[in-house]
Amino acid sequence: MPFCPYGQNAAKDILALLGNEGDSSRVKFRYIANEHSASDNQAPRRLPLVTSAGGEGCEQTMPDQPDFGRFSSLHGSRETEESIRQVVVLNRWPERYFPYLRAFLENPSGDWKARAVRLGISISELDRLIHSSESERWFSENLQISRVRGITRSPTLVLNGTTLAKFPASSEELRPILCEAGVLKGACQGIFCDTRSPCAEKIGYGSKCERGICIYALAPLRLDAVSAKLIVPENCILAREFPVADALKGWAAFLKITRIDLNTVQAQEMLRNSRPSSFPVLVVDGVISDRLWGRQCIKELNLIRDGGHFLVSFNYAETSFASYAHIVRDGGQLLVKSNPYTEGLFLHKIGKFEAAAQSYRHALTENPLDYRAWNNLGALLYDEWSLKQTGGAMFERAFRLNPSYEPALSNLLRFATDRRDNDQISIVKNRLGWVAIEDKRWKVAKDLLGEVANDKKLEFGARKGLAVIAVQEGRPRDALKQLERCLEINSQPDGDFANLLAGVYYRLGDVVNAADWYETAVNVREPSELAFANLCYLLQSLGRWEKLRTVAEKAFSRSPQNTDLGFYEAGALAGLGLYKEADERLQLLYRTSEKAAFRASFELAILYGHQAKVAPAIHYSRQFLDIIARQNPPRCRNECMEIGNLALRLGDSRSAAEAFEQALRAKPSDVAVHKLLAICYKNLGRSELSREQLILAGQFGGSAP
Amino acid sequence: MSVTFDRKIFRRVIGQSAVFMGIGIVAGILTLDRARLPSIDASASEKGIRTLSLEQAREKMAGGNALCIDVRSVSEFGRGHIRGAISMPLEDMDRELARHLDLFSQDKPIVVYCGGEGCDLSRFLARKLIGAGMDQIFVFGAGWEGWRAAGLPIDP
Repeated sequence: MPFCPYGQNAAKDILALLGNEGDSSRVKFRYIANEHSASDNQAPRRLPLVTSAGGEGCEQTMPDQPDFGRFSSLHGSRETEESIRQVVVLNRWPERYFPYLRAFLENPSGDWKARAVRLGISISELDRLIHSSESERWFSENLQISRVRGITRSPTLVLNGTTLAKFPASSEELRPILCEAGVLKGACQGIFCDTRSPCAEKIGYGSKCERGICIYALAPLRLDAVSAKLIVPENCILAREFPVADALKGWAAFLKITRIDLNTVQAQEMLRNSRPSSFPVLVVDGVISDRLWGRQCIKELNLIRDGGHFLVSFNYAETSFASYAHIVRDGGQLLVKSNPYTEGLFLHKIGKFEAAAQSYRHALTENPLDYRAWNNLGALLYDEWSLKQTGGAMFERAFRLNPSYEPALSNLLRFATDRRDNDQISIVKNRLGWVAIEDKRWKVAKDLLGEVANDKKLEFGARKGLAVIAVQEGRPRDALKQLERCLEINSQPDGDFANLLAGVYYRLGDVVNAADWYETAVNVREPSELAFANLCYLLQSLGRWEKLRTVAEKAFSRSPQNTDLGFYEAGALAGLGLYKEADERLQLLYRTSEKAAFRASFELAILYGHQAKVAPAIHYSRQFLDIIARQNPPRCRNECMEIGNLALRLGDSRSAAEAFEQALRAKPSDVAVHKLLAICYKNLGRSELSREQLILAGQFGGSAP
Repeated sequence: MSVTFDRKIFRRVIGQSAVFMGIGIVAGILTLDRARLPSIDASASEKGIRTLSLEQAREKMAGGNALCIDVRSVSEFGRGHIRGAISMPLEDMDRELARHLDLFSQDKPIVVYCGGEGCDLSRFLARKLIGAGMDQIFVFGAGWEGWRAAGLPIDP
């Protein structure tokens, strides 16, 4: 009963507990209504006489007449209609059912069309289905379940076949019940192990409870703990203080973790087969995949190996500790293996420099490309052991391995400053400036590059960087000044520079110079895809089709994975009136990927529309709309508008309506689209819907309908 | 003093920098003092340093499995050294380590030697190498004299 206030509260509680697992959960909503026989004069199919659930709720009565189709509901026709609508959404758009329910419960008296549009549900399709025999069948089937169980009251909770005496009074009471019945996953953390009342072990409801609130408990709860041993060597600080083990206790409560020394017979016996070389090792002595959170536990433990965070959303405040360990699988055991780099970091942090240096070095023997280990070991040698040259060489190595790694650059700057090496200071500042540009820290970048812009050796690069910053800050004239100075230094710059300068000219509205410089950018020895794409874009906007065809063809043959370049080529062919060739190119692109198919179907529809070839234009419009229907949210405002206009022009009001509905999903307040949709509905003979669209257009600020 | 390494610990390190500075200064003084002292504790049990006999050194260096470092002066090294050894005089240790940075990413034993039994330079360098993170450091106590007297391979 969608309009029963008690039912609404219950549904809200359940949906809140379900969170995002709605679709995958075992929770199902059922509807209560009367189903009348074909003749209105006959009595409705009576519900069997059983004792209905107690507590506050809405009790279904027996009206004599149907109020919507052959159904009736306690709160009248609007409730019957809404019930059917929800059942239609469940059957036709199952993945949007829970979102629809949430949207409905937010504002039950709100406009269903706005709700549907927001969720990408076709209003026309939904409206058609509500009045169809299909929906009657769906609704009737849904009611049967309530009828068979004799449920007449909203809300009623049926768990694993058992109807509860009354619906739990609050979300706090509801949660353990759903958890214990196994229908919830995400919201059960803590419940599983916290419910210790004896009545939890009795199946059924209504048991007397010594303490706690588990009167609805349905199944035994307490399972044996799984023992796990954390094997640690005596002299390994990290292993002894291993924080992941503590985190595991709070999270996977079924794990009973004990620490044992590596030298014990027990530990040696346990590790006989796996022979790990790093510690600590966590050995889990049983199957955990069937436990609550067990699979998640295994998954999360594996995440650590992949460098992911551990227990981010649970009891674990300091997620960075996760990087202290990674997990390897060995013979079904989970082995927690320490990571020498993070171990070094830990030791470095607590001032154990010699041990830290050894850990960093182990990290380097495992991975000589670990720039962080090079940098940190360098910092240690530089500061603690005064090995300045060695430390400096390590900073240099770290920098070469990752030229954007700022800690290494900062250390190099310190190294250069200590040596009073002004040339090196400028070089490092220049590099730091460019790193800041990569990180979009414009002010820092401007300061650093400004400091070195007068150094003759670095002036070109620094001014180029300052030009990039000026472009980003919307100062193209300043950018041009910097780049012109660069040209005085080097009149034959590289493709990257040419591309940048062309972009500045374009921003200043000088398309002639822009085209010339893009031309330069694509004629260097190794031109970038970006330069080609920019030139294509400019040529397309200038309508220089012949040139565009040549450039795009060359670019696309160099980078066939960049479908944008292929579309430029197709656009050029269409611009030249070579529709057949354009069609062939687009057909090829259509088959490369969903993204390309989206754009190709759009371009093909427009292409055929321009040639007034109705059938293929409509065919590709449909293809386009099918792809859009799979997007959530849709990314097609302009394209959908164009397709809608095209379909309307070609007389396909149904496709046009669908396209405009999709356009409204992207922007529900678009007055023009509401008006166009009104025209479509009118053409389809849906005058009521048409009028509503005009009203909506008026509400969103359009002129009076 | 400020240390620049990963941001995760940066803040913490700033907080500890004053303490570290104190430790750094003390360590520096101790290092200089010890370098001037005529003898240091050369017992085989010194933490992390293992001493090799002539036979053990020969075995260790056979087949090029270990790296051999000569701590004597460049001129002494030029007059003759153990075959395959590299020169790393104590005063040039920093520069030489910077030149041989790949030592830090290799899991290879390092054998250090100097003139002979009475020479402590090799033990001193060994301790510095351990401080720098090396953990398979061996001191060949008999040194150059012992090696040459045994007629083992030398350069030039």
